[in-house]
Amino acid sequence: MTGLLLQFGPTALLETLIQGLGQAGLYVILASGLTLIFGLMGVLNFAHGAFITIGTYLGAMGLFLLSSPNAAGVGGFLPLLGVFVLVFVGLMALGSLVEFGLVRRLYGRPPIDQILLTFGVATVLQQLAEIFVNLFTGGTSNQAQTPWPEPATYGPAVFGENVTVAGLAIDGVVLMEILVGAVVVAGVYLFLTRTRYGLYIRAGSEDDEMAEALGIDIRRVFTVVFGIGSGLAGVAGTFLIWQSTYDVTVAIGAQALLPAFIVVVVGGLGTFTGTVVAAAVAGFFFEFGVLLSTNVFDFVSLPQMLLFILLVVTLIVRPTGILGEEEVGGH
Amino acid sequence: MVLLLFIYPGVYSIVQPSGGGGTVGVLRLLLPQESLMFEVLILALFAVSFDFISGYTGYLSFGHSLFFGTGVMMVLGARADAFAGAGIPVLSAFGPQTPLLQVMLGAMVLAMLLAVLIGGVSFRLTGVYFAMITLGVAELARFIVVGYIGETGLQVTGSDLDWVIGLPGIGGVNLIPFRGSQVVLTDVPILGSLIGLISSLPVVGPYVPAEIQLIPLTSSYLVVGLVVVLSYFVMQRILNSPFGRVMLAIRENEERASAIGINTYYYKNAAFAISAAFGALAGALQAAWAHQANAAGAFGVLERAGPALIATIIGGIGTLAGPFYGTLFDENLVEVFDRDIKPFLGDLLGAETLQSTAVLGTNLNGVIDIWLTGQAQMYTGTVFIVFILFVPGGLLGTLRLYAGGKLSHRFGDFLAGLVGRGRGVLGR
Repeated sequence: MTGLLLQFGPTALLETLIQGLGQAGLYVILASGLTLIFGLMGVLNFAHGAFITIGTYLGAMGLFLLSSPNAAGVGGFLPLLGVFVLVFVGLMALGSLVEFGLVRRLYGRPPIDQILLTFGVATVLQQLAEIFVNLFTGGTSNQAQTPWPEPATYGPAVFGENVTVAGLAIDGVVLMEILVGAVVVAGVYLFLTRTRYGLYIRAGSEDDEMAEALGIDIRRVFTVVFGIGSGLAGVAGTFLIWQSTYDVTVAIGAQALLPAFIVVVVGGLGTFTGTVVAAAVAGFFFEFGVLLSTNVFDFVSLPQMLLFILLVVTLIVRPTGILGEEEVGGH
Repeated sequence: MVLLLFIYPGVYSIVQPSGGGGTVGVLRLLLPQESLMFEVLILALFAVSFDFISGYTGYLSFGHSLFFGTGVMMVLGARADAFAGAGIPVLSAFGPQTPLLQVMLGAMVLAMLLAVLIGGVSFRLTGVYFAMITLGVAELARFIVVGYIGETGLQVTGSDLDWVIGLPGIGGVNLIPFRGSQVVLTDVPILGSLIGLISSLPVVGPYVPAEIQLIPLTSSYLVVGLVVVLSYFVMQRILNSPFGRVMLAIRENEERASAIGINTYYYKNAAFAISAAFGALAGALQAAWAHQANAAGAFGVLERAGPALIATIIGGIGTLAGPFYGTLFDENLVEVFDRDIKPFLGDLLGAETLQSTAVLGTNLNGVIDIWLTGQAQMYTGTVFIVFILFVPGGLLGTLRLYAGGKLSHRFGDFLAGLVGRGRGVLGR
């Protein structure tokens, strides 16, 4: 019993809180792309998971090119920034291409068709990723299906090691996630409220036909938003390299898609503020689950279960999500 | 069509008498093996059950693999005697000695309960939510099952119990042998006496062989075929009843349906439960045959529900038979790419050519390994995208559109027309 009390001392709780904040940052990056796309176009993008996978591998490639193993000090962060930019731009291009070539044809059709189409895109992209990984690793060993720990050693040395902040031992990558998460929240918020393009996006979410009648090229706005959403998915995928709960395989995106969906539904489909709030709540839930499952119960799936309980409770108490307004999407 | 299914093992053995060895002809390349047809039947049942809810009410059950997994886990759990050990209240009644039929019924009931639970929460919302929630539950179930059986999965060894039909407690009739040893049909209780009766008939009698032997694969294939066809007809019957009409009304316009006094919430839940039961049946059949499973194969949305979704779209969503053809195409392509294409090309071009032809730093074998083996889903996925964009009705739906009705009806009309014309020509 004393052991239990010790593990729940203020230090452990504070550490969990900060880790939860880091997890929340990750969830924001994972989910904001989804919610932006859904809010504007009403498309539930199942290809998001494939974009995450590609982001992971592209990020790993960038790390091999730009960074060196265990780069110490500030010198390790510059290549990392380069990798983020590379991944963001690469995935943005891919996302825009998918929207321009495929999703665009289906705006008039029922939402189910768009779900199906993006699911098909996800399947094809994931298999393509597998083929390319196998091509680069020399074929028959099927590297794409087995965990690949090597990329995690590249990048800043503090990732994966504990940094002491005010007496608390925090993993370096958690601090980075908090930072990037905050940057993404601030960036998207400012983009939506302070730029002309953000105005177009908000107008389009409200009523896309009216916006088009007022002379806004709404189709180009759609493409840009899809691109930004995909780019954010890629950056999130790069972060997953250092997450101990995920292994780098081609299935990584499919695994990460579930919490992203939960965050989007809990926050309310299509509201960015709701997603941020839900990401924070879900992040704390997850880390609290980790704390419980490592100390009290011996049940590895507890964090995922807690997330899910969060989803079910939200759906029963407030079906449209924390900040969702009305039912969206039709059926 | 149904008849074709049942005589397929015989047809295949005529086309491919060598049974695995020998040269690889075009027919061998394109015709599925008997063991594959077995899989196709089970997966087709699963895809049909998916289509039952998704195609007819318009609510996409994205995590339909949950029910498949329920069936799998029910059978394997009972066989491994896991329920009694874990002390789960009702489930502990299912042990390794429970007849397969009872376990399957239990799995169906369990899946229906699960479906009502999920539907109760999610049917208050729109279809987008429903798709996401079913997906979430399936993935969660997968996490939980991994927690119990690990990533590598569960394997049950030991002899199999036959498929016993009967009432619990009273004792059953072993009508159909399933995955046992070699089966002599005349020894099977009811079927045997039926065959004896037929052979004693005056005209047909002499043509009945004295002893019909079936290898386990063939006998199980026939059993599974029977169950799948029965399930198909049950679902078809439901869809043609007033209940099915209500499902269509919900798909076409839910607001209008509820405006004329239909309790759509109740109908959606009931339809989902029926669909779940048949999904679990497919899973139970698969587990009863394979005797092993892992969490990804049983519950994985991409691994299990994805192919069913693709098969449904290619075959034709909203047509009950469509998913069957879609599954046939899907699984056959997987088999061709994974297993058949290499020996086939080897025979055609010569094995040395495959080894020596250099393509971009590797040889043709390498190219096949990387681009084809295990990657069939990429090509079916591409076909899937093309179908979504340009052929939303799927194969069967589009054919029906052009024929102007169900093909069997049209074919009947066509025959009648021929007869009529023939009479006209003969002047009668």
